[in-house]
Amino acid sequence: MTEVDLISHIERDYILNLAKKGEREDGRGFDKYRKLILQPGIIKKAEGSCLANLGETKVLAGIKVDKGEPFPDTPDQAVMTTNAELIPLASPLFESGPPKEDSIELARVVDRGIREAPALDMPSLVIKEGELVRVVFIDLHILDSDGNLFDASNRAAVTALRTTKIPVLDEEGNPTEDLMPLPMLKTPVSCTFAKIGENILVDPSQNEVKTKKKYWMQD
Amino acid sequence: MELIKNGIRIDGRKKDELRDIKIEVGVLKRADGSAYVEWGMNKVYVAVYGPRELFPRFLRRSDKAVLQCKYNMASFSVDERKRPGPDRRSVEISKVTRGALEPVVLTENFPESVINVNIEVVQAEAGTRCAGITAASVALADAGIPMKDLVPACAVGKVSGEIILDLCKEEDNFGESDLPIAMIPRTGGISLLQMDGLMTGEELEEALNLAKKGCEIIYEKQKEALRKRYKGDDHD
Amino acid sequence: MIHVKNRDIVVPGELIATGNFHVQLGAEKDGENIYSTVVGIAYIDQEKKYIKIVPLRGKYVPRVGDPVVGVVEELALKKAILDINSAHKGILDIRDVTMDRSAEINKVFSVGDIVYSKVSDISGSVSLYAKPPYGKLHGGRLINISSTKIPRVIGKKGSMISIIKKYTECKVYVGQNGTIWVKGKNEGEDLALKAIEIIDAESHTSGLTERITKFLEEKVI
Repeated sequence: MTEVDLISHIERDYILNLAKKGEREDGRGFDKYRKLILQPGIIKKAEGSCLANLGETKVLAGIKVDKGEPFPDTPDQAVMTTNAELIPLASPLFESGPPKEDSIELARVVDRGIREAPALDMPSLVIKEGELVRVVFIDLHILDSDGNLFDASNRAAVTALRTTKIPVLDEEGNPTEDLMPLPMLKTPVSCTFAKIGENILVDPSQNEVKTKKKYWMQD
Repeated sequence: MELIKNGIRIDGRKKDELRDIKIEVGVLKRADGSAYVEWGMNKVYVAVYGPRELFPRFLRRSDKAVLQCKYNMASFSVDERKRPGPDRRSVEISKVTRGALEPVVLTENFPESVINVNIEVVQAEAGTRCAGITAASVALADAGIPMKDLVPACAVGKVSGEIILDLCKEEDNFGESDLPIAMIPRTGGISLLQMDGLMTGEELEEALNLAKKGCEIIYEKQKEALRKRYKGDDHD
Repeated sequence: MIHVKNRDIVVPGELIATGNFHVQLGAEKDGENIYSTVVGIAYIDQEKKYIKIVPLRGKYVPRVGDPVVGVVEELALKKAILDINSAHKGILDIRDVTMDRSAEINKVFSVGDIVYSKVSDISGSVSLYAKPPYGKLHGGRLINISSTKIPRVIGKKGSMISIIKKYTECKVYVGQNGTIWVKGKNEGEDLALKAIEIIDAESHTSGLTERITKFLEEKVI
């Protein structure tokens, strides 16, 4: 109802009282996720993509894979970067402009989950050590913000990576006609909780996010 | 490259054929009004917020609402990844989009406020500004913002000397001329007219007539999409 | 001459009628022609010659005298600023809340409070009045629907709202801005909200009052 990040006392009390009784606004159990729908390959222009619908939260992840120089301190690893756009489309609270702390935090948290799992086999994406590696861009586009952007983004990004197809390179590092998937290792699954009163709930919806005392993420 | 042979274009269409267009209304929960358009390979989301309070205050107008349009392309929407954030092209398209929609939005009803139109292109293949304007009209209507009319938009152009409707990517890149046009069917007026390349006076007239036909078809799709959203069962 | 049927769904730019009709809402005259300006249901009275198009969605447009239910968003020196689901916020001056001259606004309200008030002035900003019987609301439940559906929730001469109150045994305050507050026993509150949700979803159909009555009767048994 409001554009400020606000919930009315009446709505907040309702959620707190429900939680005391072991219930949630949408009837879920404390340990249940909203319905998750994943649509990989939805953006043909991208090497990989996935639209994640988690309840009404919608996140579109796009993977673009290019070639470039590795970072000087990791000559034997591919380059991977994650960016998140909390675009004004998705919520009356999001403003346009350069990434602010929320979108930077979201990008870095999703990135860490993927990088440290490790999800991507970074060494095997090296073309010529110290000179040429694959560069993987993970771009998260939030389309509709209804709570728990972290998990929706994680699902979208990981699924997009797992369904990405890149050209096979010949000995000179030139692309051939053949395609191959990205070399994947582990599959990081993030899990976000909110503390409501004395209770811990998984996958908080928008109203639960506004009511929460604390917010956790776990990979 | 032969862009057109015996009246058949590179993607199999005839000169006056539109690409496949699908319009959905009310696809985003948080927005006051929203629409999603698939137009050929283009995929465009539009969200409308407002009318709502405008900050900074000095932008407010005492006689009407301010219409703000923002066109943006996702990094992964094009072949070569695009750096996030507005570039000069996006800024220009945002401005002409506002110009295309402003004549129909009854902004006098909401002085001192702002109506935000956010256009997000998640996949692009020629004609995104027309897809954006087409979707934005529908999203504005979905938000309940009073309008004189909806605004259909499409591009016409010239390839191999022939006037064609709704350019695809190759036609846009290698053709002789490209004209995106937005129309206001109720008055027959034109609210967006841009041109690249060269055309003679007669060619331009032929192009405008073809655009009008294209816009009429798109207009019907816009109306149908809006009606479909609200066709519940009738319990009479 | 009329170009659409009564109760048709119409869209902006659609030609509704030609001739000497009075436009009450949702349409504009252009010479002899009357065009819809919104997505809505067209109501045409051929006898009295009026046309009204009720928008299916849209922000609340405040009118003086309207009761509204709003959320306190901000507290300024001597006033509270409320969100009333409109293009502008509602301003509630402390003098329109209490007779106590020394009262401070942040002792009376806090951010997040729900307030039942009346629109007192719309020239410039939207001014609200919240002396009794209006004021802060405690407990109960809230529901937000489109302000355009509120007349259906109230019904002809309050018929619909009376039915809801009777079967659910709840207090119901209907804000013209689309926010409705109900208070009663838990089951009553749930039932009232469900009934309102049905009205919101089916507002453009007929026979709604009978269907809601039947729905409530069955649930209460």
